[in-house]
Amino acid sequence: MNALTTEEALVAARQLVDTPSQDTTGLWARAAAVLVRQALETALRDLWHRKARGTHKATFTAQLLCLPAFLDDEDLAGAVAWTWAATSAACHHNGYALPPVRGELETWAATVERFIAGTRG
Amino acid sequence: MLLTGHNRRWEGRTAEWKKGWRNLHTDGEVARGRQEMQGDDPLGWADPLVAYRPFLSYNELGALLENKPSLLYDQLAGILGLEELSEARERLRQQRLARTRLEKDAGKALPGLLDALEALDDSRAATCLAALTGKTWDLDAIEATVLGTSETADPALGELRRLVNLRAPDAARVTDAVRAVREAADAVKSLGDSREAESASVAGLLEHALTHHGRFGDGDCPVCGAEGALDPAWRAASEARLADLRTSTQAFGEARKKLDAAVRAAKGLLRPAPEVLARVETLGLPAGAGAAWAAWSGGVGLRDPHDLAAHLEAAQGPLEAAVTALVEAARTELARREDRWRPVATDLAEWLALGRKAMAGKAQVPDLKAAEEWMKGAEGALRERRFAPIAERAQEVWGLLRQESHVELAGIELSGSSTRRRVDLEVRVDGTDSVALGVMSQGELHALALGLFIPRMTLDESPFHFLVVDDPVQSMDPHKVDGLARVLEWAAKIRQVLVLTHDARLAEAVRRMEIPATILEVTRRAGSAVEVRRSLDPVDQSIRDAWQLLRSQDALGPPVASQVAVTFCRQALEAAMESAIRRRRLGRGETHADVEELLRDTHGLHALASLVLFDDPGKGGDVYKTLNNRFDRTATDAFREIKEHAHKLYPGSLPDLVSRAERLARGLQELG
Repeated sequence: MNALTTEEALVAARQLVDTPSQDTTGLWARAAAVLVRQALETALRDLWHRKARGTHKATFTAQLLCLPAFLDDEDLAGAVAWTWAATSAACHHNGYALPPVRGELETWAATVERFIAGTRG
Repeated sequence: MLLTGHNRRWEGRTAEWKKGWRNLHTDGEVARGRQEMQGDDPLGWADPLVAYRPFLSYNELGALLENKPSLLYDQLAGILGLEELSEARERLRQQRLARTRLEKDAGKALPGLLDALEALDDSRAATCLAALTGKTWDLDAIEATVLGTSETADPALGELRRLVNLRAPDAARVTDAVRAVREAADAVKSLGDSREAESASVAGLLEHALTHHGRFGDGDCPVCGAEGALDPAWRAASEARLADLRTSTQAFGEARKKLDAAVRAAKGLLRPAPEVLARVETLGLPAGAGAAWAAWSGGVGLRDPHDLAAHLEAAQGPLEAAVTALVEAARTELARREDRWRPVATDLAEWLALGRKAMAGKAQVPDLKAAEEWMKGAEGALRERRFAPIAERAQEVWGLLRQESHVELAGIELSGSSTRRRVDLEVRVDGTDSVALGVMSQGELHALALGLFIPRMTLDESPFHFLVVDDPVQSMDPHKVDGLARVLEWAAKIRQVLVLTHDARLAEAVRRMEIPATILEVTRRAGSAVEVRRSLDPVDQSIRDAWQLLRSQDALGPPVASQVAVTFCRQALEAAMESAIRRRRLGRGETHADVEELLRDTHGLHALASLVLFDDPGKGGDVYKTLNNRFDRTATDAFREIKEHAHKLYPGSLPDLVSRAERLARGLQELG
């Protein structure tokens, strides 16, 4: 069993958001957040693999600080950093936070898609 | 909506707010209960819904203290059942005002009447004037005067009326009397005065002589001595003569008697002047009649019948003329007075009804005023007594809610009345008296509003055995959230308490403080479809979610299930450790702010474990060893595996990992 690719993770996330199911009642939002973050992290790893090997060993915070230097789009780099922070918050247990809502998840997924397009285009 | 048909969000807003409201959570009809109630208010809840309103939304909470003070008063006073008292007092006040108004109206109409009365030279007017200008109105006197039932009210009027009815002796009767006197006098004269006495004497003499002859028989005359004068022939002649004498004496006597009667009748006409004539001059009438009448009646002393007849004849004409003139003058004067009086009397009679009502009303005003005063005092006392337990409860609630607030609630009082009614909140900030609202933060205001209204919602009199509080946690600091949890715990002992919130701090506090509660998590999907599920402790929740993912592997795809399940296991460990840290440190008396800051600054499982195990975030290196000692090898492995597989697929048995993670999480949670 291989680890999820960026695209697989995104598709799975979208499916969780869009398809209500008895199986995922109550957990779909948190699970989708996990998958979106997973997609973002693998996309980032792919980027470093192609452009700056070894960078993936740094902390994610450090990687995200380097990102504007490798992306033409500064706004996108900012959005990616923000999405990583948001999904991480949703993935780590936080006693005060409700699960993310549908709109948030969609925005995050869209950002990751833009990121993929931006790094491969 | 269901209970009141209203939504506070619309109140005072444009139509769009109301029009736009609908249930988005279902496509179909909302199911209705099997039994529909009939009538406007079948449960009798209309009033309690206002007085004990069992809902408190965020909107309302904020508005409670920001609205006009009288509104807050009304909302609190509603539960005290004081409306009836206020209504009664209001009714008394209205009655009193109506009566005072009556008096005022009557008084307002008075000056015109008084002026009219003053302008009259009528003693009735004077009587009325006196009756109306005294300390109190003498309405009985006015009525008697106006209705004329009291003659003494004006002697002048009585005199005038008597004068109008005055008549001089009738001319025809006088003429008859004069003739009768004259004829009788003539008749007496013709029979002659002197013969009458002689005839009577002779007749008496003859009678005695005849009696003597009857006893002693024929003989000499005892008077003149003539011999044999008394004999049968004498007797016959004397008897005849005596009969003659008797006839003539009788006729004379009758004439005399007739004359006496005629004179008496004539003198009867000479009555003395009526008393009222003496008052003629003071009434402003011509005085001639008095003198004429005096002259007339002066004839009563005349002895001679002819003189008397002449007097009657001479005096009658002038007397009649004088009396006629006087009557005419009196009639004119009476009419003059009546013409001026009548309109004033009419006005007075009209006013009298008003005055009577006003006086009757005025008599009741002191009683009404006293009743009002009494009610006011009673209302204050009742209000105090009924509000005391609520105020006390509110202070208790505030005591629980305020936690670290510097604001101390020293007292709550309903005060003032009518337009100045308000709720006095006595507040001390750091021991200094202050006005409540100015010094309080939004969160404190909300807490205070809750403090005031939770007691209201939980009164025994309320038919609602539930209370719904919407988003009470917003803008509260963590300490108040703990206080709120305690307050709701108290309320939940006597009521079903429903709290809706977006802020998970209340749930966290409820769990940490081990307050029994059912927590439901509502998630909203596309199309506003909502999922509701029972929310567990975050540790239980994460573990349960992990198991569920494993069961749904086929649907989700094994890599997805695996990736997410490991993350959920990690969340379970984090939740367990955070809850242990919170419980331990808050229990030690550390502030919420300090504990939360510590947790915010603690990143990663190792740092958290270091805090839980050693109370020190810096001993990450000793974590595995201590975990091994405290738990067992498998637990330590679970910790490491979860940490390492956060970002890559877990190759081992997921069910095994999840169950080991669960054991470890429970163990860590116990360390709090």
